[in-house]
Amino acid sequence: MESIRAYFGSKYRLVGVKLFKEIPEGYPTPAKPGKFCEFVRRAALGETILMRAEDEECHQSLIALGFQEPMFIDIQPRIQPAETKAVLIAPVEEIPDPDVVLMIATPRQVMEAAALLHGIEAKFAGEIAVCGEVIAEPLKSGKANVTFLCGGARMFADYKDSEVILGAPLEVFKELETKVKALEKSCGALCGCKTSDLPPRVIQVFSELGFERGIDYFFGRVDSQNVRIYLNKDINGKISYVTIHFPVKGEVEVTPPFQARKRGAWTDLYATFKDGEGFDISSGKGLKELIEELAAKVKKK
Amino acid sequence: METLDLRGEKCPDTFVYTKIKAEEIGYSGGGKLKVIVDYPPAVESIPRSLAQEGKGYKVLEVKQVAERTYEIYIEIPAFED
Repeated sequence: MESIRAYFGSKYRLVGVKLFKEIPEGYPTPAKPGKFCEFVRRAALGETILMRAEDEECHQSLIALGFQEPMFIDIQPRIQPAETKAVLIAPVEEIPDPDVVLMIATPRQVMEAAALLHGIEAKFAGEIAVCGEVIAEPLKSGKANVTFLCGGARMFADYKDSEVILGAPLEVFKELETKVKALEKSCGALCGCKTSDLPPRVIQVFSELGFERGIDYFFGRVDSQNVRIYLNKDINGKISYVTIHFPVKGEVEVTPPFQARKRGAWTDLYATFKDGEGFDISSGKGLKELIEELAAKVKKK
Repeated sequence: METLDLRGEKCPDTFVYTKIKAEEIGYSGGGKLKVIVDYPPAVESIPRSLAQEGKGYKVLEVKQVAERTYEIYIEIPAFED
């Protein structure tokens, strides 16, 4: 799950939440009562907390998390029947098999996650939020949900106005992780680091190879083919990948190491390589040969 | 019976205003209070929070009077100064 955090550039850890029908041994309980939404935020900063009913100050959360049944009206979303005795809240890597995973995120990060998951149907009302909208609701539906939090969470749990929470069953986050890892390999969409952010030495390398500098790629012609070159960072922020892209009008043969995407009348033929595997980005050694070798493999149908 | 109209208010303000009003009534000899809310979670949290106060508040009835509008009837004992 660390790759998700790195991909989205989140300063928070993903939080795992697991519900128990018996109080488990060996987990730290809070020194004083608080609110579930507050414990989630603390877990996102690295803390592990086992919350029992007596540790929870918020009555709505006790109902939403299934510690208690409502007495007067049926408020939703909630876990029913109410059989919960404890809730473990911790960085996701520290909970075996969590029921729900939470990501404190900005709207932009949720947008990116939604795009990767092919859409999120969010259901929120600004009430019973962290405990209900992103715990009980995803558990009931089996799908991701987004909460914009509630008054209590905003007032007591120190969330910023710019923060919302994406919550989903573990399986959904595993799917997200798979997609993020695939993107790391393919460098995602055909886009790269802004060339203005690149070290001058790297820019010089591509200039010496005869490539012009675009906003986020270098472009030129090799063997009568248009070529674009994108540089991408790994999850540690180091420029480690080179994606070589041939935009070709019409149909082309797609053979390894190429992948292809259709774009109207065009086919984007591209392949990604890791720095050090036959070439060196900082010196340019081996790059020219690699690009020429690929250009020779571009075959129109 | 006094009425506290909290329509438009959300938790935790719904409880805070109820508590202030209930104490005012309690220190004035006790009586009954009708609280009107249109924030459903407050229907559950106000009675539970009042019970936690340990001042002998008693919720007599909760009535739904319209979609998302509820009346909570509370009996408040007389407090000693």
